[in-house]
Amino acid sequence: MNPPLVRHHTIALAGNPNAGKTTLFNALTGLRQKVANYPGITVEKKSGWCLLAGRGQPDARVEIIDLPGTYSLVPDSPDEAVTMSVLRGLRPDTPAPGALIAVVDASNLARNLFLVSQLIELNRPLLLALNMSDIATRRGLRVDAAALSLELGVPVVPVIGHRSQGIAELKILLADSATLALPTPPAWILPPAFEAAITKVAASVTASAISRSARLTARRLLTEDVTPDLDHLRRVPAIAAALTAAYADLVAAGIDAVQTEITARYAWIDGVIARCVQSQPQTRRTLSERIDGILLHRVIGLVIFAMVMAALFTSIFWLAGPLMTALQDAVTGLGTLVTGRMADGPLKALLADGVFAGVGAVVVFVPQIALLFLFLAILEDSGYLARAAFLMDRLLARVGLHGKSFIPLLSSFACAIPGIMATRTIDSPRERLATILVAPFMSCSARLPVYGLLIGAFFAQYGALVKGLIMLGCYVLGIVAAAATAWAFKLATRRHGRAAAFILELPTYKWPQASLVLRQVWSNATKFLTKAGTTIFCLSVLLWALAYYPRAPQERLDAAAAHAHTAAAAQLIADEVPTDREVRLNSAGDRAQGQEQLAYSIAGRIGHTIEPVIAPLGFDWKIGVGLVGAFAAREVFNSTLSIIYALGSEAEDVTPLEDAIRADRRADGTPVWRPLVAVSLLVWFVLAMQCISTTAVVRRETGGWTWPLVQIAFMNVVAYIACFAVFQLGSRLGY
Amino acid sequence: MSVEPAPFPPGLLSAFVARANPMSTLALGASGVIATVGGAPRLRRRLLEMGLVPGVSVTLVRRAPLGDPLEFTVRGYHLSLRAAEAAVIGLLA
Repeated sequence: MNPPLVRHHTIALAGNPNAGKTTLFNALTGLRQKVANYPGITVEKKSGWCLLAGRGQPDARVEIIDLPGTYSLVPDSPDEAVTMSVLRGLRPDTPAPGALIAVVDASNLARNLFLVSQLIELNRPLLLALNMSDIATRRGLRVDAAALSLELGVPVVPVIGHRSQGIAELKILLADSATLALPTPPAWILPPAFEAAITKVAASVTASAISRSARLTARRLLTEDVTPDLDHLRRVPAIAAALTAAYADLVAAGIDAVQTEITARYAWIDGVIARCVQSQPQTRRTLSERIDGILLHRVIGLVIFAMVMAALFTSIFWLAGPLMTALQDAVTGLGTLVTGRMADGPLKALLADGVFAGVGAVVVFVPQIALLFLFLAILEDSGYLARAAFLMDRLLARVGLHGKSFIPLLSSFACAIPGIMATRTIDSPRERLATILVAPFMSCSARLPVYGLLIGAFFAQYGALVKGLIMLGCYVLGIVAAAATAWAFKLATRRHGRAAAFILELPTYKWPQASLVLRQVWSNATKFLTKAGTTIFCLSVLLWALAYYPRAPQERLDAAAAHAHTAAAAQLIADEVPTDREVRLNSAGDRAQGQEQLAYSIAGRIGHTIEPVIAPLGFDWKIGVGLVGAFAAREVFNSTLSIIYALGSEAEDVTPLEDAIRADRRADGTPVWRPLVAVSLLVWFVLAMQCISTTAVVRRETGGWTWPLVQIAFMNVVAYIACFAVFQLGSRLGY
Repeated sequence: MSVEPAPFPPGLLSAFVARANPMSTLALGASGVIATVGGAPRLRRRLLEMGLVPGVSVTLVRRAPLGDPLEFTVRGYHLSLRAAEAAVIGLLA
């Protein structure tokens, strides 16, 4: 049984980004936490239980909510909007917090106290956790917690989150937080004309005597542009009129409300710091600054950056490979174990090729996701992620992306799924969306086998250099398409306000914490499995059904098998020899049955149906079937073609497939596949959106079907036009 | 409905504006004192909230290897801004 909940006790953790909030949250809640999403948006909702021992209530516990880091209660991003709305008690899905803990970075006190100056005005019990005093001390800053507590009128507890120092003291205060006196907002000194304007608006807000809270409301109406809790007031004619009059007064007095208010807060903060912080001037640069001298150096910095990114990319591309194969094999092995004793039939096929293949299609991504998030968490927690964005922003800003888009896009060369999940580190929504939309243009590892097959089959006569250049061309085409799309998106959205600013704090470097990093990896892997995984699984089963149903009549299969049998027998006589004649003949029969069944299935019929549509691109119905199969995963194209060409899908070696597609002829004797067809198909694979797993993840990350559908439509139209142009122009030119 | 925050009053601080240098033109390692903060309302508010208020001293620490963005120290912390954003902040001459 859970210990009883202390009444009214939901406690919210608020603070600037990089103030050590999450570390403190982990220290307070241990493993008793859960991560969910706020409905409809992709902001994480983290909450946990904190057990409060002592104080005669050994069983008491409080719920702690860890809110996204924010610089201000006037939000600038969806994350900050969540923090603001939870703190103001505006979210129906989250109880208004009974008390707040402000997490404050002692080494960066002034800017952190700005948020505190707003938190004080929320009129809720407030505790201040003074974090990172160790770093402050190293910088020659001594923060007097007691003096700070007197100045702010709230309890101040020095803590060192990653060493769990001060946690016990914090818990003792938490147990009593319901009885804490409310903080008294300090009076910032505003110009008299500003005070008069506030009085004017306050008088319209309240019918009775003007209270402190009415003045606060009036000040917020005058200075804040995002105030969902006050919008009903703005609609009151008397208040709207008072606001207009007050603005006119301010302009006449030469006062800019926003700047004056923020400057007044900082003037107060400067006074508090002068009274509470002793600083010894430092002659040496800090360790962090010296590290930046190297890591942000114009030559060495870029070399190290390239090395870090190469390590990241290699690990998700190559290191994950064996793990992915092992997982895939394990699932397939399990499938064989389960279905091995079953009689042939729909149930066995469903389990083996539908269910287990579907599970395989999901788990195969886990190693890449885990490794990428391992790297990402280390980079973020250490402070290097911000530097990476700093180094790369110039390159990406030109096409309307963000410095933080770099790692997601780089990861997308391995697989767009972890790449798209990694866009969560981009805090401006527009740049994040643009990154998600262009990420699938990066040639992922699933395209590699298809590129290999097509280049091997049609450019065999050329040397490795030419083949390599064609391969490189595919990657470059994807990058160019991504850049062009991002740029077009930037132009298209320009009317909806300016692009987000790049205001990025470069936090002090620190050692990444193992527990924090592992939690990140775990939470992302499980989130992928539970949320995107179910969609991927269902769609995989659906695609299996498309290739399995309807079943071809037995006569057709028998006829196909007999035909193949005869042909193979003739072939074997011509070649003379082999001893395993029967085995070879039978497997030729089996493969022919597989080919006949696939041609008869819905997928095969779709192939035939779409042939008129894809013919202008140079594709026949067999390629059409391959394209349908490629929606499960692009590399499935190869195995679908193997079945279509009756080679058996298990063919390890692609050479027979290369030979078969080269030998394929139309009814009139012309080859189905020309090099031009291969080029057109390569262009299709570079540009087309044909990965249902990615679509499932995009849906999850953008919170709806709009963007994934826009992405599918856009990418496939672009791919169609490009292939059409390539094939038609190429044909005219005689290729 | 949201009311636009008060526009920056014409005439105010114009004496400073006339003489102010954009923060983006600071020499490497040089410091300056903020006189004015302009820009679109959202950007302007956020810059002010980050502590870039008139009277505060800023130092240009470095440019990114590709020339942009810039890294400044302000109020004891390190902040990166694109040159275009830093240009809305005017320094005392």
